[in-house]
Amino acid sequence: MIEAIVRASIERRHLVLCLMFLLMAAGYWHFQKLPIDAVPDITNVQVQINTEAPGYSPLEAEQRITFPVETALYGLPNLAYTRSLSRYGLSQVTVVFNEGTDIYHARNLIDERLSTIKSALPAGLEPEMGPIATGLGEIFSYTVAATDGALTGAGDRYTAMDLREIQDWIIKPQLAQVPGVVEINTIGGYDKQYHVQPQPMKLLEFGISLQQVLDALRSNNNNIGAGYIERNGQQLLVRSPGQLAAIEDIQRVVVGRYGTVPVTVADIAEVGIGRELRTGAATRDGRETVLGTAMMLMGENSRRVASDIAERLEQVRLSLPPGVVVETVYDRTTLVDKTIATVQKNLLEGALLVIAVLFLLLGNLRAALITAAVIPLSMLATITGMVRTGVSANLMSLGALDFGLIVDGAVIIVENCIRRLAQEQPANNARLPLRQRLDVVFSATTEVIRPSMFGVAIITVVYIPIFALTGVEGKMFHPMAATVVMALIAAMVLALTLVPAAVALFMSGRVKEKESPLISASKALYAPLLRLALRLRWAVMGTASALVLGCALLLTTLGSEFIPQLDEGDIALHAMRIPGTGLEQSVAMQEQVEKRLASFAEVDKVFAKIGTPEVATDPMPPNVADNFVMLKPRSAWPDPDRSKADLLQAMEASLRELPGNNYEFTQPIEMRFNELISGVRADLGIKVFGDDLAVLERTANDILAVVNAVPGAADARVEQVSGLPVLSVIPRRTTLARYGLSLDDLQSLVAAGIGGEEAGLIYEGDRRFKLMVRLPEADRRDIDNLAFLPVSLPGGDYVPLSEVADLSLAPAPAQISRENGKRRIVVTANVRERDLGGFVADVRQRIASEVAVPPGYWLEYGGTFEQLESATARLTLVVPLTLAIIIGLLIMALSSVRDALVIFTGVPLALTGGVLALWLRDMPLSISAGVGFIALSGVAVLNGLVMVSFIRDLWQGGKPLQEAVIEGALTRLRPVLMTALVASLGFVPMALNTGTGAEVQRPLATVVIGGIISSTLLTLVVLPVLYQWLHRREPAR
Amino acid sequence: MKSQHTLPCIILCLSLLCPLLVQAQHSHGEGGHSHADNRQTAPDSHADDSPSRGHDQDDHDVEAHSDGDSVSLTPDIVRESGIAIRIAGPGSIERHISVYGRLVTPPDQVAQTRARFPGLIRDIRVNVGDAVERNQLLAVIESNESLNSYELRAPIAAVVQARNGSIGELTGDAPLFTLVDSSKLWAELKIFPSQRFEVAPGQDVHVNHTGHIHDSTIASVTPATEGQPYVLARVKLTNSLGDMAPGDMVSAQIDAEKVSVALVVESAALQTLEDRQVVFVQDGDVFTAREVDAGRSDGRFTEITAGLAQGENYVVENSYLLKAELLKSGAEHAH
Repeated sequence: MIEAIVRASIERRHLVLCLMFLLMAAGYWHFQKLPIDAVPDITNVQVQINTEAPGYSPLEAEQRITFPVETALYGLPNLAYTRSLSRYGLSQVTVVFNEGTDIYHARNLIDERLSTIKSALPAGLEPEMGPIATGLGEIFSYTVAATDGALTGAGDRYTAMDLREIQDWIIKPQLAQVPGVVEINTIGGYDKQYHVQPQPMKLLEFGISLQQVLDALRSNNNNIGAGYIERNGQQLLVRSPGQLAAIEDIQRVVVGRYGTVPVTVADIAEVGIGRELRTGAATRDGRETVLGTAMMLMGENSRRVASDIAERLEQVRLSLPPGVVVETVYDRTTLVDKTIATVQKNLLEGALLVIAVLFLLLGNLRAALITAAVIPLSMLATITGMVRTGVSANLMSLGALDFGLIVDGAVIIVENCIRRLAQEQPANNARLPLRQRLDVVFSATTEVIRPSMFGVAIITVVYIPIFALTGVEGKMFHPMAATVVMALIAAMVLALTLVPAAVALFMSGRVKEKESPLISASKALYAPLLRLALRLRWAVMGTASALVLGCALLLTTLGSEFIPQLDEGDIALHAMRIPGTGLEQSVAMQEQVEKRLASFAEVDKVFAKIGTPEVATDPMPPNVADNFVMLKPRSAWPDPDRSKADLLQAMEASLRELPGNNYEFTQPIEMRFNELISGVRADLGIKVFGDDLAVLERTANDILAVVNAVPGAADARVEQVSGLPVLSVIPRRTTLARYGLSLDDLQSLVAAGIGGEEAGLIYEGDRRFKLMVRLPEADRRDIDNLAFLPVSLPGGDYVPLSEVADLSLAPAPAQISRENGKRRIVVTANVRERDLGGFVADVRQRIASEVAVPPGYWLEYGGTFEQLESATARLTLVVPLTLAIIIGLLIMALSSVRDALVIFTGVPLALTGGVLALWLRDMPLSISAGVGFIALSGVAVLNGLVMVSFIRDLWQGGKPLQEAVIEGALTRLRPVLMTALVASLGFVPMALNTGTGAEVQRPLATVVIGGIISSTLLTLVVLPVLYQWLHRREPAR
Repeated sequence: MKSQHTLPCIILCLSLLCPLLVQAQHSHGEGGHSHADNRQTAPDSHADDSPSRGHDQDDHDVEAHSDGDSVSLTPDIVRESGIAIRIAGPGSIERHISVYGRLVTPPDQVAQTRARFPGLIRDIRVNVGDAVERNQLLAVIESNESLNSYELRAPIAAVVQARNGSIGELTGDAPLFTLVDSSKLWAELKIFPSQRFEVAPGQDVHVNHTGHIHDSTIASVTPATEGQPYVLARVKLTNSLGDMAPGDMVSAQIDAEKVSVALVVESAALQTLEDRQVVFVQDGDVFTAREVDAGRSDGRFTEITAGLAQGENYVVENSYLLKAELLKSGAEHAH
């Protein structure tokens, strides 16, 4: 079949070339649609259901909202698990679906379930699903600020509230229209509200209750349309406007009567513009600000969306009042551009090097160009494949592409064609007739097609273990493997079709095989070397084995790192304070932190989000701040060579001097991923499930004690759940009854008085603002005098709050976490200097015997160890299987177990070079390096295959073994050198690059280069020796 | 024959590959550790060089208190953080109770004058709103029986609040004049049961009438009319400006307790550290959380009965930062 394809391609060479144009067009078209991002998306398929519940404490939020919502989700198809968080004023349920679930379908199902429980939720609360975005969604952030001395229309200085109003009503509506933007999330400033603040004494004086004030405001703020009437043929619309429009209108609302005199709002209350009770704040460079973040719709092209937003923002600027400035503080385009530039540079330089090498070694520019043409074509085909299979272009997916490796098949074919054409040439010293040329090309192609096909197949097969990875690792590396495999297949198809066709078409001139001086020199060097090696075969094999063993030992000393850190260029850090820290206190502490950070010369901008934004995509308590530190370009640093690690260290040291903060350094995208994935990140996590928080906490602490006693345990800790100070107003029921008050009267007074209650909306054109009734700031903040707050009695009299309620200040749960519908507390521990499996078994056993878990409570073991166990289990199955497949393929290719094994020895020999290269460059063993080893095994096998099959052909052709080995080895020197050189040179730019994202590619490239050097040397020397040794007793066939 | 060579070959290959595989899986594990380590140990690993000698130890460990509750900060940081220091010393605690009530006219300042003998009003000298002196002539009435005229005079110096009758009319049963002297008023403050034991005659009161504070004392505490749950504390007020009127609502602060105590701190200095009340005491660069017994408090100052000595420097403003520093190892971002 293969021969038929090659034959057809050669015969229909023009058609093949036309098809190539089609391929290019398709590739270009798909390139426009290719989602480009910096890093692979590792977010799972999840939907966040946020319910804002102003005033609800964690316990109430859990009981009233989280529980019904969770219960409603039971039995959703493809549901993996649910987890939830109940905090002050917020319930967030995160629903995680199995991989591959259609998010829109899932959201539809959730929506349906949610609509059925609306009635079970407290009135006025509305569960909402979070934006359809992934961890890569936060692509653009900007701050809104006023220049010094800028004045509002009313002649005042801009306040945080004014800026927030501009953000909400001028900027946000415009940006939200940008295609691909799913949400503009705002944090910082204050939502403008109209506040009616009744004086308790005035209320008493006029005998008016808070409820009356609320009722009066609610029933005096409406426009009504009253249909139409026809008059003299004209239609008149009827309406009765009554909406409150200004503070004066509110003041004039009548709330009751005192004797015969109407009492207005103005008589009893202050009316003014007030601040919301906010849950989040934003700071920038040590000052409070308003921060807007654009979230990108899942699956969009972040680069395009971000640049569209930036463009739109330019227009928005024109519409802003003078003195108000919007500044971009984070733009994903920068990172994506940098990443793409890195990849592009690597690919381009690699390709150029490959062309140069081909030209040098083949000595034929046309042949070099034909081979090189495979590079862009297979790239375009890969892009088509990526778009079709939904793989996004990023550092990981494009990072492992080495076109040197990919064109290996083509190189071998072209080389053989050239050789054979040149061989044919001298015979008649003129142009070859077309028919003959085509035949030569065909036979030359088919001569090497088998080994190169098998080689490519083997390289493809070695990527299989990567597909066995699951979870985060899987998401990071699957695209890489998928892309490489697609590129290899594309290149293989091209090698079968385009390459012979093009050779047949373009190599029409006189092909003279000018043996390039490089090759002649190599051959001159190689021939004696090979002879010597054949004579000293024991020494050679001994050295090789020693080398392999030595490197295996060396390997164990290498450090290791699991997933490489993609350097995003910018820094993110959590600044954490103790639970219960107030927002204003947090802001004050944050300002200190930012001043410190901004004092670094390398820092361009610092901004932070504290607490929860408007849309609770990241529900942080007020004591936690997400800091973003944007660095200047390196050229602007005082010392451009300063390493980032050093800078981080200096920052941390400086920040540690500030009291009361704890820090966790990370990077913007990484931070977002962590927030979304949010699993247990310690080695071992013991989840305690149950009902009573106190019992849970006690059990968790018991477990902690046991875990701490197990040898090897480190950093064991219990999840913090309590510590939120709560002031409880506990009603005295009998006393209430005595005064004729109901529980509800009291509670609504406390809620409205301290928290505030919404009494309607005030419209200003499009803008709408809440009308709130709340006690004056002085009264509601004064905890000491809260006991004296007068509670109105039905008869117009009053009673102090302390008379009908007890006030108590006590810590309460700061948050309640649940998983799969049950409360849980997690005990986490890491393991040091001990094997994880044994540790876990030990812990399990000791907990079972020493901790009394009360009935109704149960434990679950999870954590990284689980992933490790499953990954180990998979890999122990898949890796040997892959090796078996490789050997099987080799046996198929050579029909000889012995030859297959000879070739297979190339793998460990190749790996030695990789290990040595890593060791020389002082790099840890990582998955990236692992992928390098995988690619390397493929190349090694390919080289070996080409050589062995050639030797064997010669030997079977009747030559004595020794001669066959030497001649075969010498003949194959050029292709082996060529494939090795193109593959390793293709990776050189990657190995040396220091740009954004290079840290992922560097280990890979290092391994491949080192490995190919050793593999080539060893293929050329050890392989012939082994072959000869193994076949020494066999008669010539 | 063949297998003789093939076998060692396989063994060689596999033995070479095995370490690689093992290492690959091992690296998996190691990586997991290091990744997790970075996250988990960040607070602790720096405990040594950070100013905090904090709560790494078990909280129940008694000894930990002696040296486990200190934070040292350089003067620069103290300034930057806005940590303010005061010296502990004697002071007074004034505990207030907030109450509400209404102004009433004391009974001895209201006079309802009637015609002693029914008769014809011959003359009236005053009108509503007039201020009258004591013994000032109000009206002249001709008795029906004796047909003699007699004078009706003001029993007190007051203001005429009401007048029932005009010249030529006959007097009825109703009082002819209502005289009210509002130069002194009573504030009747409602004292509810929970406050009753704290209120006694003689205590100082600050009555707030539409923003003006009038200082006085509680004159008496009497039960209200039957059936009401509260008692009334009466406070005498002088209405020198005449801006107060009976029936006005007032709020009042009663100095329930006013004691001089040997040692007070500002209440803002008190922090709770794991169920203990502490004050941060400064000694050079070292700030130590000192457990104290807090006594009476008026919201602004709090009496300290044990744990602190006079003359010690304690942190008032931003003492929360110190608490936060001590407890910060517990500060984490739970997702």
